Amino acid sequence: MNTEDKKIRSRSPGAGRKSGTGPFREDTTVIRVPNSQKPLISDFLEAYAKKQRLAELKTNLDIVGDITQPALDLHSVSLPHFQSKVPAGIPASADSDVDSRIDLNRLLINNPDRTFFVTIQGESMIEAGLLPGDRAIVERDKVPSIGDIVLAMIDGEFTIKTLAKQKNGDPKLLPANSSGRYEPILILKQMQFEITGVVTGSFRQFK
Amino acid sequence: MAGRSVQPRFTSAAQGYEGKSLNLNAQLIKDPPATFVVQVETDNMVDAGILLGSKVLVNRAKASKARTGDIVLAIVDHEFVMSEFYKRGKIIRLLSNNKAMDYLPIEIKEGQELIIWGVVEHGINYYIKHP
Repeated sequence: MNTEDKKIRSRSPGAGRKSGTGPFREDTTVIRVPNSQKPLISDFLEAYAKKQRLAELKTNLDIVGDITQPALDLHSVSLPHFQSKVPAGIPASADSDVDSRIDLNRLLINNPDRTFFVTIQGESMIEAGLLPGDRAIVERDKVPSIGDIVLAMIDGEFTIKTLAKQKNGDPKLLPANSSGRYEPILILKQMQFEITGVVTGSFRQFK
Repeated sequence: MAGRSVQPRFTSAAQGYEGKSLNLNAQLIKDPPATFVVQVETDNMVDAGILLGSKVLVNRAKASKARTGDIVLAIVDHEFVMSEFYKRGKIIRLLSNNKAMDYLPIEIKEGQELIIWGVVEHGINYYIKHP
């Protein structure tokens, strides 16, 4: 291969990074800056890049923020639990047909000190049974596995999504909504990212 | 994953919310003697967020007061059905909430016995079972 060939190839249309895909999500230009001002300008640009990322992510995030903690004075209420089929025609008090009894606090909360509730926003997780207004039960300090539904923080905003992995091993967050309205969120090196807790369950009021 | 996972920082998520607390039993059970927990074994109501394997809290005391739009646990032809209740004049239907499967509504005919066992008040999903 001669140099002429190389030159032509390096200029071939569509080569290199596509415009608008860098950290700033738009075309960039090279400038010289005074050394003394470099940190200041770098900080400014970093903040700008974060703002651009968030603006782009916002529709995919369904940001959550309404957080409650379980009451500490958990009194026990034991409810009859039908596991298989509900027996027909029996009076409500016929305990003989009850499979077991359940206390909701014990069913849903493993460790009250590490559990909190977050109100679901948006429809990004509806196919996992998480509808807007539902309360997700989140346990923090729990080691998340791939496939878990997690409460994650991205650049300061909280979101609930399914945890998955990118090809390079970095995390990505998947919606559970096949309508195509929500894109997977790829976690990039420059993002501030942490998994705050694992969603262990949820509850909803119908009326 | 390991290289990028950060110690979860609950404090950042909970700041300013310390005062708010919620008692599940008080929140979810309005009428303890009439409330039953039922394991869901149908995909009839997935669009309402009730999945196969979910649990629902059913209030039996509200059985006779079921209204259009309520999710009910009913007995039709000796079989249990969880459906959305619809009543208009003499027409009674049990509707499914599953667009993907497109189940037909159950139309209760004259003379057909329909027992409303209770009204579903809450749905509970869990994604990770506690030991």
